[in-house]
Amino acid sequence: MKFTLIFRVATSPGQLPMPLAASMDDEKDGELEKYKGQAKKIMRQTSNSSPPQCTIEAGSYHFHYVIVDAPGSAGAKICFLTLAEKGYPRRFAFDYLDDLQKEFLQLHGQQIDSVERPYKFITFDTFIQKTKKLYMDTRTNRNHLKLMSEDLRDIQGIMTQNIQEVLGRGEKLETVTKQSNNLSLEAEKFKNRASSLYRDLLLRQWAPVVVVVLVVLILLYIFWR
Amino acid sequence: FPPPPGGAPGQQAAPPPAPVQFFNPAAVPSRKPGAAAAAGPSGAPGTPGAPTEGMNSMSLRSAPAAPFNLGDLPAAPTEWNPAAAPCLEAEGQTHPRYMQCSVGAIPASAALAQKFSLPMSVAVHPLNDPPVQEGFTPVPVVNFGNCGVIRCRRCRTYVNPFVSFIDGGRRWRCNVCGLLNDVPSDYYCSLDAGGRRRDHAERYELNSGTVEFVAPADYMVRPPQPPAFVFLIDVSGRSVQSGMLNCVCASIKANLAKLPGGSRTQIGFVTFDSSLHFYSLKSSLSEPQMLCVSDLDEPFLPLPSELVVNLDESRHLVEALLDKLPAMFGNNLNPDAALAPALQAASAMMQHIGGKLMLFQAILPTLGRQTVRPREDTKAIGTDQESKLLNPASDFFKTHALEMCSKNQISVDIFCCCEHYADLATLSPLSRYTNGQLWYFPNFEASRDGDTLQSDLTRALTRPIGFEAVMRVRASKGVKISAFHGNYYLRGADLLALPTCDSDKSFVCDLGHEEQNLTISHVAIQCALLYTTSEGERRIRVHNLNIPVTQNLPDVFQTIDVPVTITSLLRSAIEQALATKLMDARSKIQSACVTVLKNHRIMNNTPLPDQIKLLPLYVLSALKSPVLRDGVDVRSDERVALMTQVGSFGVAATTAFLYPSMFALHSLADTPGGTVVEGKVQMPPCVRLSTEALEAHGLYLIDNGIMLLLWIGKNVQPQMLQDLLNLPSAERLDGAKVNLPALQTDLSSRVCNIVGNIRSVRTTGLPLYTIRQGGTAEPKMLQLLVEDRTLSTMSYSEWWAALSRQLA
Repeated sequence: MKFTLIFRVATSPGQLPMPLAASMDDEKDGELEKYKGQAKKIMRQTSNSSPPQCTIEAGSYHFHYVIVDAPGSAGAKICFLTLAEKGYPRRFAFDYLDDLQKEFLQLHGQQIDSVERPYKFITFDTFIQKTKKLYMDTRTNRNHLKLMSEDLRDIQGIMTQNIQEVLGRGEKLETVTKQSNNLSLEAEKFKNRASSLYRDLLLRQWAPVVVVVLVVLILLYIFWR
Repeated sequence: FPPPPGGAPGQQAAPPPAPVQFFNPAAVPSRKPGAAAAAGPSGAPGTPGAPTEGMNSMSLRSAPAAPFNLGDLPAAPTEWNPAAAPCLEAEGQTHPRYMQCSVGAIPASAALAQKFSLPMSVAVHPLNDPPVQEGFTPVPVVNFGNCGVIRCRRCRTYVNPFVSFIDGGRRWRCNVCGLLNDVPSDYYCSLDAGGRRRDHAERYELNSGTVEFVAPADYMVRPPQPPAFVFLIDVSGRSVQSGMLNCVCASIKANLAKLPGGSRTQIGFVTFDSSLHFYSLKSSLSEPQMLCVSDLDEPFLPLPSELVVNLDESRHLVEALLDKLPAMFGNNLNPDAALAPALQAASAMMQHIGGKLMLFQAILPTLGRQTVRPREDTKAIGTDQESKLLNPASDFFKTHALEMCSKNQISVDIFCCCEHYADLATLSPLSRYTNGQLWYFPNFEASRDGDTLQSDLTRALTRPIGFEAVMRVRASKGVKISAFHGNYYLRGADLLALPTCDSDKSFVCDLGHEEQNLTISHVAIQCALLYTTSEGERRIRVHNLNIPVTQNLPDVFQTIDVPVTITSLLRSAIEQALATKLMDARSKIQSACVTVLKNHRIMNNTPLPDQIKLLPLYVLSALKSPVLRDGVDVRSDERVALMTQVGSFGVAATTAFLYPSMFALHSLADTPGGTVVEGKVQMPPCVRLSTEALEAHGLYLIDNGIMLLLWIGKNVQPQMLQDLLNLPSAERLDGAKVNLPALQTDLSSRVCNIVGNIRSVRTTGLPLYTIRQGGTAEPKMLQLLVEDRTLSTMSYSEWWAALSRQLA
């Protein structure tokens, strides 16, 4: 469990996801920064239509997340996302997320709608840290295993995706937005261009006539005098 | 020592023993009798023998007197710690306690600014919130929610009270760069007939000079960090014998509950002598586990995840460790300290979080990659070689501060308790570049200095503090920030990187003209500090100033703020001293003073405005202060420590340091001084800093922001000593550090109130020393009497007279 992020999912189109809590790093790790960047991208891409549970493969690590409805709220959803080593059993990872979710919803579940600043529940990091230690410790794992066999949770049903797919979709979306933006810009340009062309045309048509009339007038004026 | 009430100590040595009392205008035969109030000592024949050796850089010898007069000798301020006057009274200006400008009007052109000649400086004290009990309203907090923080598209200025809304409220004009910005639809509000937004009164960002914005997620590179404290403690023989270890452990333990951050606070310990000791504080352990590392070349961290732990969860272990440490090393006679490896290890331990690294040092670093050798050369002091002693012997600590600490949001505080030479010049970059603080206890003895260290440490641990901070100051187009003075590291062109920033840190920046002529009517200055509060909130604190531009130079002279000016001058003089030599620094500050008075005289032939009159006094005090003073009595450690401290002092602390406040305690009884009225301690008026003001039967208290001195006159009534100190006589009070006992007498309660009030506003613990008139410690106190002449420096009246002649 390299790190954990809890956020409110952006459920309507104009809304941004809101980070609620995150784990503290155990040590400085340059590689981790890359994954954190990916986690932020995943955060931006989760929406109403995302699967409620998912594993995303990203090289030697896997992201796991669960999305749950916030109790006492109409439509708000909370996502619990964690990054674990590839070899770490998925079952435990989801169990870990379940533990976090239970505690978090109990503590802060009712306040999700009112959250207006990022990391409002950052104090939850101490609980994350504690739970994480529990799951990283191999001895407790064995105890857990026993419990788990009774639980018989259906892990196989959880969807697995690849990070490239997930991020690719986002990139595609971004390209589409970019292209549509470009298109509207180009259209604007085209419109400007067209009207200026039209002006030029008018000028070209009528300029000689105007010049002739002017010359005649000037001549007339001179002769008159 | 010649005890001299009624005459300056150096006066006896003056060549012609002038029968003239200083400050006695009646006795001075003025050459210009018509001048206002007999002209003071200007051009007086009694003073040509003024010693000028100390002021050798400027030729201040007696010149032929001309019909010019500076006026009377201006009296020093008599109010203790006066509140900064709001210089610009308009809605939307920040309070001067947060930001002050040295001028109330900005010259409209570069040429005009040159004629003004003093720096135009802005002193920023970003987190200087008043204590809560003063009935203060906290800085308003604004959350922009979905529309994001409103900023100018081009110059990134935050929306502030001085922007103007146009187009019926659909667009706003940035007051810094003049760009028209669109108002996001979520932020739109229609305008009233006067062009103001209808919601003006409810919008703090539009009506308050100081405001805090809640930072959205894109202002964070990572989740807000928890407050982290790592204590790096020297446990060598000297540390144990002097009682430092014991004292430090006890002080930390006493403050554990008061550390900021609540349930998130992280804590860790490293101790070192000739090897490094780490302590595993994992909450599941029953007692702390010590891990020794003796490899000093490549120090590694055993159990990296268990060394910095959550304080709440491991509280029992931390307390047990602090109880045990003194006993564990009680018999340690190890004479070595591997400071550099310990520092590297401690920084590595906390680099994933950042926070405060507190170093307690008792001996010079003797082992490891970087050692420090005693290099103080008493012969070099006072010569051009001295600046070498003020600069680091090696770049190791500076490099470490920049590449390890500043980058990873670590700020280093140093408590130096060395017995002899500590080479603070080499060590101090550690705190200087990370906005830390340096405390220096020369020849620390716990029995004497313990309580000072304890109160300093308490303040350092419990004051309001912000983490992972960056600060930027923006000024209107045409005006640039030409220099910063303070303790920071400049990242990029104008971003101050401050790993932590607490309520005691202040910065000064100088304004310069980027364009020859300013076309704007006001110069806007905005200081923005982005930081994480100890509760884990990311905030942007914004202070705004809007200063009018003037074509009229007298306006600038009229509105000058001397305390801010001298703060800026002193800080740039310190930088000069480190860059070249002390003498250059002295002549720089001195010529700044002379030039401005000269320019004032040339530009407008009017009497000196009151505002500027005190500048010469503060400049003289700066020249006499131990930071810049010439003389063999200031050791280089002391100088470096003061330079680092003064580098982050606020304006009030700087003026107190330069011109200390002196109170007459023996005459308190008939005044309200020292009594408490409506919860506020009434401070007695300050006495002039001159031996002339001292009465032999008196008791005087001096506060210079760093220490307190109690001067006891020769003929003081024994009853008074009994009432104040519970001692029958002053016999053993020569230079001794004392704690004021709380006695059931009127005098004692008043003085305790006064001392308590002074200590509450100062950044350090202010030890109180007693000085007996005629005792051996008296010179220490006479140095603070800046109005008097010393062997190498002028008295105030001589300096004033010399200035008058110079301007003639």
